[in-house]
Amino acid sequence: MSAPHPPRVLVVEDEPRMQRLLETLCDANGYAVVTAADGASGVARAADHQPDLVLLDLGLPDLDGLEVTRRLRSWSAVPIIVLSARGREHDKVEALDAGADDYLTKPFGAQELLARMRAALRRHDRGADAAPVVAVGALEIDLSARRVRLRGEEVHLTPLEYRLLTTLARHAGRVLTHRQILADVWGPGAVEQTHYVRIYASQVRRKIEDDPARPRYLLTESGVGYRFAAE
Amino acid sequence: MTSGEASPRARVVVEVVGLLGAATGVGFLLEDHVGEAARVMVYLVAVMGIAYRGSGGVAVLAALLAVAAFDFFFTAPRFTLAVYDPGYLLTFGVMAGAGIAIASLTARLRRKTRESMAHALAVETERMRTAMLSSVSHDLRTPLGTLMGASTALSDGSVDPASPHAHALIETIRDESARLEHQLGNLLQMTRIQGGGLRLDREWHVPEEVIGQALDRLRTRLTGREVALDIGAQPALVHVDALAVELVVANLLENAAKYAPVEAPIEVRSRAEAATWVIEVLDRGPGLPPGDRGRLFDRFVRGEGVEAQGVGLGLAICKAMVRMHDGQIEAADRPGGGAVFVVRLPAGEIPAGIDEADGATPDGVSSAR
Repeated sequence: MSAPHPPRVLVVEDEPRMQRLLETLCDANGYAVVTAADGASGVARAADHQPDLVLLDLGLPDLDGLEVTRRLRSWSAVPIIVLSARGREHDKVEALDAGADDYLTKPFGAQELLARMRAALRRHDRGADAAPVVAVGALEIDLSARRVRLRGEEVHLTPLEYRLLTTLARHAGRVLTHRQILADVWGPGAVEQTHYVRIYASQVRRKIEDDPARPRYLLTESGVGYRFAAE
Repeated sequence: MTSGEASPRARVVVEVVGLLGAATGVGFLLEDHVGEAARVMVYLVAVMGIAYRGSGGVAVLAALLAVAAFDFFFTAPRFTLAVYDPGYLLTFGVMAGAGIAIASLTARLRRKTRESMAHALAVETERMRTAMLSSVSHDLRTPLGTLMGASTALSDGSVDPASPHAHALIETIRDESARLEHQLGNLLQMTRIQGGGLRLDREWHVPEEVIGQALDRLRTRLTGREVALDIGAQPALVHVDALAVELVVANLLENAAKYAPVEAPIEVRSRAEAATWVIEVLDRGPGLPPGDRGRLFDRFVRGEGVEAQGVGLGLAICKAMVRMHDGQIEAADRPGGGAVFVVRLPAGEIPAGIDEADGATPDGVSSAR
């Protein structure tokens, strides 16, 4: 990150102790922090301070996080990472479908949060132009040459498998919901057929993963969707 | 009327008609042997039966019907409701009065019985709640004590934050909070199950993915342990609530990690057996506690010799989740030492066309070849 100013993070969280923890973590890792304790002031602060990243709690006292996401998205492309408790998968999916970039389940590890923040900022900086080659571990996906290699060996994928893998790899590090993947790979008519994604993800894993049940590249986000590992 | 689905009202009608009909039949059979008083008694027995099974109102009605039946079938002129001998009016009056008295007494008895059963249930629920609260507060206090001890030691200078001891304390804090999180998750889940607020969200899933996610969920807890995974021939797809099954497997893994020594590998096996998905979690711990195997899956029962770790809810949740899937869960001693937990879930019948995903591709994407 070679930005002249430290990246500015807006933390929207009503729980004071969690707010303090997030503030401390951001501060200790070189981010400038602005905080808001409810949805309405979160939206207002975002307009005033033009943050580079928003950490948004989904359980706010006034507006729900979903509504905040929608309002922010109506005028801003700032990366949004939503935070919510386990068991609220449905809320996360809604927020992601409404335009949030990623999510984190509370309680989370600090390393996990910081990695997500870095990945979101990196994707945002890079803008729409994905790198032509995505290389992670022993896997290399050449998007321009339409070629996938594992430890230098070519991997043969069917067109749908290739399309699923590259849809995720183009957004490496970011979770995509079942709905987003289905719309992209199978078309808008298939968005309810979540098992398509599962079947094809398992086929791709058999070709690129050493241990398909414990994947290294193509990761499952239970109840939400899939993520291609960023690093 | 004989179908098991008959409405409650239809059943009441059947019972009333049946019992009064039976009383009439007995009356005819005994006609040449006993007097009228005995026949009246038979009707009253039928009314008592009806009162015991049905509501007070129905029983009063039955008492009046019994009088009418007695009049119709057994008093001259027979097979009419007319009466020659006015003396019968007294019989009818006494019969109706006795029938109604029986009806109301029986109904009251029934109500009392029901109330005392409800009371017993309330006492049992209260006892469960108390057991749960004391179990929970004890079990949550243990990791909290560790957390408080470790964190105060770091913050008040008892341990130099730069020393190697500090690192051990920090790891303790991390591990204990992960354990606490798992316990609270189970507690929340049990509350949902008991409150009846838990609904399965079944979809078609790939078995090995569900197993993999369960392992991932316990990543922190299983740090430093070997987990051997044996994925045999799998059902192609299983129709389950993936988050629920993940929790079942995670709880079995947590259980194995709790009882088995760190150096002994834990094994997870997954395979298809006909139309059943079989998941096994095996450990080399002390094996099952002696006693009733079924009770293992009851709330707050815990193996011997383990310091309070976990609210003892894990296996109870497994049982509830597996039951909701119409499956079975069993525990046994493992040959050679340790325990094995076996979960069997119906894989579900894969509907035709479910794997037509290829046909849904919108347009020609050139091959990756």
